[in-house]
Amino acid sequence: MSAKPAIVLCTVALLAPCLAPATAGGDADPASDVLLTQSVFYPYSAQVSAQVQKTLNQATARARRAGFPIKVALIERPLDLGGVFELFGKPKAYAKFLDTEISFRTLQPVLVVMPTGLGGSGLGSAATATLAALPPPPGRRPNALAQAAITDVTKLAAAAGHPITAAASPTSATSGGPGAAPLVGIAIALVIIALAVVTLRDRRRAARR
Amino acid sequence: MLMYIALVLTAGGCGGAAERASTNPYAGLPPDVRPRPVGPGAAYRPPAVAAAVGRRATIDGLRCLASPGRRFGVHLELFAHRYVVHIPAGIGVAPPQRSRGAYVLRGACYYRLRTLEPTGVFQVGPGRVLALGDLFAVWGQRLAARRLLSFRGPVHGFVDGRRWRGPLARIPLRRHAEIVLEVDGELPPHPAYDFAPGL
Repeated sequence: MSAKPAIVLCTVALLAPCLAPATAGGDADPASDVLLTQSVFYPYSAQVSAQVQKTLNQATARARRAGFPIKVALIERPLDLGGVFELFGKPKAYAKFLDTEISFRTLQPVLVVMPTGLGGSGLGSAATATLAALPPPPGRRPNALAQAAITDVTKLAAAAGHPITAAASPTSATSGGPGAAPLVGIAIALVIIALAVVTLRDRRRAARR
Repeated sequence: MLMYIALVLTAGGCGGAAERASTNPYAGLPPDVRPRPVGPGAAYRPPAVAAAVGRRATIDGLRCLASPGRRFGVHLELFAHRYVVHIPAGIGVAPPQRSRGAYVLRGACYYRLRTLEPTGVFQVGPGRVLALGDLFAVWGQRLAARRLLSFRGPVHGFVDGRRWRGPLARIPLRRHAEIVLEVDGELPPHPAYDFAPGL
């Protein structure tokens, strides 16, 4: 065998593993499918309140209009990851995973919010540095994850050079359960009833005298 | 010659193991935990509603029912040429469909096999044990030993991570089955899927 073909053969043999596609896997995470159509993936296990959903959807829509089309995945429990539940608790790895699945030859900013922390991919260097300094969500429940995402999307958009107006972050108390206004109404009604009872009692006593 | 081989080996060929270990976010995870993108073109995004479903016709003995009723979950994943084939929401749901975002909320009537979300999770109603052939009949798509939707080539099936050796259309749709079909290119299949409560 002459030296030239031998060199070619050796090179092909040595580089073959690098030329082959990366170790393959699958499409088993629900977020990658849902995020093809919408900007936020919400957890299965419990509902994020309507007001918080609305605020987060508005924040991502504003970011998209500003030139920062971020996709957000809220992962509360392993079941939100379907067949790749091994990635629960690994927000950075899952962000990378998700980005590979939903990016189509473009930069696709991705934010993953898990109870343990945040992960990002495709954000650009400035927003990636900002993400590293952001705190983990204030709680484990879906509303806490979503509220963290509302704040984080605003900060990441600003860091990426696409500032948006900060959304008023709704609190848990006003974002799904009864708010303060109905309670005030009930209290006033109780006071009126109590006054009516006392007035009636006094009139009856006066009539007996 | 030997010097050349040594040079290629020293260079590490494709980056070096140490570098790969430090940058691989999936290090230590099972081989099925690797991302795959959706394939390019319309063939990788087949429509949800078959003509027969649009007519609310009976399909292989399956009628379109007014209420979805009780159900359990089955997960299906499709790959062609190592790319993901997107499974849409609204399979087995007769139009007009009402949707919110990626999810189908309701339709005119429902078959015993249907998808309300675009995740590959099929809801299966109670009754005789259905098979994968029934699912593809309701979807209005092709499934054969060498045909998967519009893709041609040998089709391999996996159930709960194990290779299925019989006819693919006979794969039973049992509760929480994880079914993977691949045409032209084998990928490590997921052995299980974590279903949402109620399925």
